[in-house]
Amino acid sequence: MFRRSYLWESLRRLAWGIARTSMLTVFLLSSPPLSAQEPLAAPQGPVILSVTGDLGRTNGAQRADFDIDMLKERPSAEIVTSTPWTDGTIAFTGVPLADLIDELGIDGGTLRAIALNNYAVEIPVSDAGRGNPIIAYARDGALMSVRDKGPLWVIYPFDEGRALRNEEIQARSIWQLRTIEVRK
Amino acid sequence: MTRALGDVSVPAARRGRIVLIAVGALAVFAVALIGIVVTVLGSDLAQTLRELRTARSENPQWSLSHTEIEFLRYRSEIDRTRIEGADSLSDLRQSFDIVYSRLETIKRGQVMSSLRNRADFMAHLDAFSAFLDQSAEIIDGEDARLIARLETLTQLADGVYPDLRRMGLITLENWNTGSNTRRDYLLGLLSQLLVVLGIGLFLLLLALALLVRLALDLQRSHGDLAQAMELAQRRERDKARFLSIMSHEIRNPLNGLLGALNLLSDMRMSPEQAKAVSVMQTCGGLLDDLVNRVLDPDKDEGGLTAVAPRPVDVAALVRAIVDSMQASARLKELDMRVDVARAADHTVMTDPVLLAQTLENLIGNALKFTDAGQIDVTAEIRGASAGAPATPEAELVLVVSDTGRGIAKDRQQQVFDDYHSARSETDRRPSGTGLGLGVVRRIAEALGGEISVESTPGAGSAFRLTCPVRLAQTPKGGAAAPRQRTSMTALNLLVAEDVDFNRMVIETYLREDGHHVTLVEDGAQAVVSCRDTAYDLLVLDVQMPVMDGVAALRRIRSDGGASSRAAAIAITAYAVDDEKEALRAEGFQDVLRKPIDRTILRHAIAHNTAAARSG
Repeated sequence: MFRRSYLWESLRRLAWGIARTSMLTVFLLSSPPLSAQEPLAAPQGPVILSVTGDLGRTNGAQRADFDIDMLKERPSAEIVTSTPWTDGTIAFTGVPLADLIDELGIDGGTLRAIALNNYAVEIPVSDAGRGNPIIAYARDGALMSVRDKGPLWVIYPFDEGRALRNEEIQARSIWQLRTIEVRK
Repeated sequence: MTRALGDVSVPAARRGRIVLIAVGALAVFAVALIGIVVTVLGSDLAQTLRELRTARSENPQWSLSHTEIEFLRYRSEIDRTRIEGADSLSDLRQSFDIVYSRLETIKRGQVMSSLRNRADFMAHLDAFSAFLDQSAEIIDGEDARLIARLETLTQLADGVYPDLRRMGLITLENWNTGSNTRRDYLLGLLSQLLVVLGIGLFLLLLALALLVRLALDLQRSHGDLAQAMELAQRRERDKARFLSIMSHEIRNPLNGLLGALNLLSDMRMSPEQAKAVSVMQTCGGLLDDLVNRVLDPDKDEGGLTAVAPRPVDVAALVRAIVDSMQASARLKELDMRVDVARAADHTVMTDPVLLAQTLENLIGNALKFTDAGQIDVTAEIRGASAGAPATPEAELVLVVSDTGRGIAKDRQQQVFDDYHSARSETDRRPSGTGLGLGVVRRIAEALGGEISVESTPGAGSAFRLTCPVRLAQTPKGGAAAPRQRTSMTALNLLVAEDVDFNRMVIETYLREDGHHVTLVEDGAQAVVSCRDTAYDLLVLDVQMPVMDGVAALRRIRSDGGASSRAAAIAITAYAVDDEKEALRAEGFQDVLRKPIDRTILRHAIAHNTAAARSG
């Protein structure tokens, strides 16, 4: 059992690594100057997510701020799963964390995810895509309030397998996410 | 011997099989047990370990303590708002929302499921829930109203804090119990595993022990068997040695006796003397036959059936046997008559020993059961016209009839069964082994013929042997006359024989045939003599002192002397077929059995010297 899940995990990691590398390569070869030069749009509404640190694209001083519309504009993914903190199965909608990392040109270091209550967890960039998490902004189609653990909640497809039901992944599944600091 | 072997091997083999089955069953059982343990308990254990691992990550305790921390932060935000006023309202609201966001998890999250069946916990949770609802109504209202009711919020929060505190304690207590239960369960599982594995191991050890025992048993019974085998072989060797000695010690004087009688019979004697010599010859022949039958294991075990046909003058044979038994007939004052007129013209190919045995048995039988009257013996060769044998196939008929007590109709067939004896209770006179007529039947079958009986109780019996024969190429009177000097070339012969009278008999036979004979007494002398003299043929006794016949011939052949390529005839007292083959393999052209028959010796010499010359 354990052995199989470890194997599975390593395969996933490898696949992810290859995918990410190739995406980066495509990104760098096809349009790095354009992407790098094109500035990120500025937020119009209240900022609900700030990414700070050494970024490839910004809309502020060493930071990228997002309002809810900016997040909703981006390609989204849906994860239907149960969680340890809720009852029943829920459909979460959000931006894949990996997409965000790529788009902002983050290519190494550690992500420090911080919640509204200052709860924080560190995730190495190299491992951030494992389990294909999303930064969810909607729950069963509706935006999430702080009372619903919103507005942003990092969600993993927990129901997909045992590999994701462990302390490490659960710790990364941070709710009321507000800031991501990129540290070298 | 069989018994000894049986005692050792059969029970051991059976025990071995049983032990083997037991060992197999034990091993299978043990392996199955261990397999079940590994699959059932093992997977259970893995599941439990997994639960322990994942449960640690998000436990109720952690959840509750964080709720408490966030509650206290909210409580301090209320105080801050009192001092700072409207500026910190958003922080107040957010801190409340964060506390509020905990409610769902506590109420419905999987993490807290183990606590929700505790009534005291649920009561406190209801109080907490009511506090949130009441506070939310104020928090969600207008800013001014919120600031106005800060005191209410404070009272609500302070009122519910003991409930929250209590919930934390219950969670802690529950967790401890839960982990104890889990630990106990795990311990139980592990000890079960240990016990079952122990039993499995014990069973495997038991199987191993049984295997070792089986191996030891097998080794021991193997040793016993080997011992028994050795004993059997030693006894067999002793028996063979005894037979060999008996053969030599009895046959040699007997052969001398018979040889001397043969010589005597060729001399001029009165009719009475001739008759006495004839009886001595036949009786000697019977004795010889008896010795052969006792000593020859092939014939001893009912194997009388090896047929060795050669030219036989049936008339002479029958007359001789009848003569030899006349003495017995005269003792009982019986008149024994022989009629061989219709067999006198032909020599036929048959086995004279078997024929003689049949006749002796039949005549002996007639003598035994006839108290008065007469016995008639007739021999007839049918199907061949006198003179030239136009048809080689013929039929030999021997009939022995008596005027004895006869055999009842219903018992006439039984008399030919082995071990059947016709003696009545009152008949105490010595008789045969009960094998006599059974032997006759077997001989008749071996010769391709049959034996039958006609009998009238009180009047007498007539036994009839009928068997097919081939006529010999030479009509009677051609080669068989004993004194006749043959047209054979005179040969230079060497005879090596240690027993004086045997040597004398052979010498006489050969000299009378006109050969030049050199006599030596052992193999060594033969070897010396063969170096310088070129003999036409060597006659070597197999058993001789100093150097036996086989060794002598080997030496003569390898020496390259004058006689190294001469033909050789072995004479032996104990000639079973195996030995004959062995002797031929040693380089003898022919093997003759003692007592030496003049005719056979003559044929053997003529045949082998002719072959040597033409070859």
